[in-house]
Amino acid sequence: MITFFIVAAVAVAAAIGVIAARNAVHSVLWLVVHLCSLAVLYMTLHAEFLGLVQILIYAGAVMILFLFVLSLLSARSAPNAAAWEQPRGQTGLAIAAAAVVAALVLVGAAVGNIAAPTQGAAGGAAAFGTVQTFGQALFGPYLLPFEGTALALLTAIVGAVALSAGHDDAAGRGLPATVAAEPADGAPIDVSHAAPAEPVATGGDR
Amino acid sequence: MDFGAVWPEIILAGVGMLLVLLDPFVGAKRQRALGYLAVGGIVAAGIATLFEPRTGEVALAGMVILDPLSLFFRLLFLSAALLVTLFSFGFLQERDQDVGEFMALLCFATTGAMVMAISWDIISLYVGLELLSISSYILVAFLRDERRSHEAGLKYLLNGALASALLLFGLSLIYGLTGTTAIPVLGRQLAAALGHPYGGIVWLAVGLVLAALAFKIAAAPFHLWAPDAYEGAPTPVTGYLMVVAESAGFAALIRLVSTGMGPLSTEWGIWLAGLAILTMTVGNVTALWQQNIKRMLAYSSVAQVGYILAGIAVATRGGVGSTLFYLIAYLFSTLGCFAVIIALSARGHGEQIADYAGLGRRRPWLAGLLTLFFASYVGIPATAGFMGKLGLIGAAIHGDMAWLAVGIAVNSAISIGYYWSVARTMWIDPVPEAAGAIRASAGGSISLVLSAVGVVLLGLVPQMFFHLSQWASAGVIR
Repeated sequence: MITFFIVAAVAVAAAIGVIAARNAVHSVLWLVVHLCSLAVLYMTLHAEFLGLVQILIYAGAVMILFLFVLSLLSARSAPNAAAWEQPRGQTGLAIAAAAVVAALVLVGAAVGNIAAPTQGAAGGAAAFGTVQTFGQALFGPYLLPFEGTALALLTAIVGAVALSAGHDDAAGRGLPATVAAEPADGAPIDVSHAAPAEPVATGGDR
Repeated sequence: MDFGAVWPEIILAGVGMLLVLLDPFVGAKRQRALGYLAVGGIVAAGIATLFEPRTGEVALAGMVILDPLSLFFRLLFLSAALLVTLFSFGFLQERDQDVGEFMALLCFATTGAMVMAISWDIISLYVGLELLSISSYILVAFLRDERRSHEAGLKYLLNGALASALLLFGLSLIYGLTGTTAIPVLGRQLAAALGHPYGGIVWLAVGLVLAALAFKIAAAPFHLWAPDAYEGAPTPVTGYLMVVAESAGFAALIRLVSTGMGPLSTEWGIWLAGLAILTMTVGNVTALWQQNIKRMLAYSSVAQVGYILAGIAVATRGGVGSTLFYLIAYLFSTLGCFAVIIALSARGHGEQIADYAGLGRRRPWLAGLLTLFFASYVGIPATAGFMGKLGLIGAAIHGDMAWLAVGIAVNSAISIGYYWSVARTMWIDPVPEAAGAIRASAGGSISLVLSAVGVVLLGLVPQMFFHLSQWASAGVIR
């Protein structure tokens, strides 16, 4: 129980760090902390395999990719903290809303003594969380969602290729100026071009 | 494992993957073959749906159900996808876009919509929703060279991701409260949880789910992303989103709320009724000021969503039945409108309403059909929309929500304003001098004719479709 509260506090703090950090790389590092604490939570729930996979894939591989993309992008344009638009009044509202939800859940849990959900399709307690039961659940009752998720990931990959790579004649067109502004003959990058892309026209009825 | 239950989805996803695979090997001259392949896949999936013998059977470990409603929505999505495929081919060739990837994404999106509609568990429902959403974000941003398309895609992505997060949060609360993800037992467990001291969380969960689905169907006040996304998206995609993505949202509403949360219907019924009135009023009033035809149709679709919501809000079998009937009418009217707009935009014709001046004299057939589809939107007798609205108004009165019926009637009157302004521009205003030739592509003409036939058939001989939608709604309210 004590482990849970410590890890949960770390997870929430790290989640706040992700959105509060000005530097995108710091955000990613906070996200690593958050994902690792989630992995610990999984392990306290006796889902050891899921916890390990969480660290290997999310905290490991996916975050490395995040950092790769970030360093590729920010190699061309330094993150411009000054241009970061500070939301007005939204912070207070968000904190209030989060507090209301947290109070509802906490009070409900304290007063109502919510019982832990009975074990679903995963089966008996002894084998719970092992690779075998995990695999059987994934390829048994949850086969359709599993395949559906695979298809969604495939779609995302196809989309990434369709939107970013592709036609040579259209290279860079429509992309932010930061990505497109590559000097052709080794000329120094014009700072005014390397500034964040001009704000795309937003909202409203034009 | 009984894969037979999801043959239509497997076929469609398989054809989508085949399209991605073949795309690099097919030269620019042979792109037409990819279009035919997509059409073939959609038709094959439709045949697989029709030859599915089982009804009312739960399959794949409780993840999906093969009831009349599944059959109805599968056919609805496949028909819409077929019409969109037909009129998007010419559009893509005109702009030198990649046909294979576009058609593949269309297949994946339709697969996601179908998975949503046949779901009998909140996990498969959510996965279907994500598959539909991810494909749609990419389709909206598909025009590489148009900044407007990218902007629309980004807006749709951000808003859609927020809606997905809200839905996931609501669903996780529901799982925490009930300990189950199976839709048929949710309602009873939620009603039981209501009696506990933590009952307030039930309303939080229901509210989050309703808000998230309202985002997806673009109901006011969660519709603010819709006009921008719909205006900037490639025109065939706009039509696709208005019909398939929104109908899929209604399928999720019917599964999750009408069936899943049935025991709480007195409360969410009032919420949805309020949402319906607000949505139709906001959509109709804002549409009055629009200059761009796609933007006007976006607000008009918001208004239509309001009418359709009324059928779900009354929480009766008749209400759901008239919702389903209206969805068919909405499909034909909307895709018909977009077939006309695409035929016009193919030769550099603008998207402003002013560009439609004198169309009645230049292309009387196109102008006449557009007027027919508008008449169906308004609900003029002898069109699909009239029978649809009649059904919704009847359901509202039977469901003791007469004020909802009044709202639908008043709003239909308001909507005449903006449809008339387009009709007046087309038929009365003079032809501009620099008017080029207009020619619809073969696929576009086919989908135009099919939509027009659909609108007229639903208006003149609606009995068959009434029976179909009543049959499909049989098991919804338990």
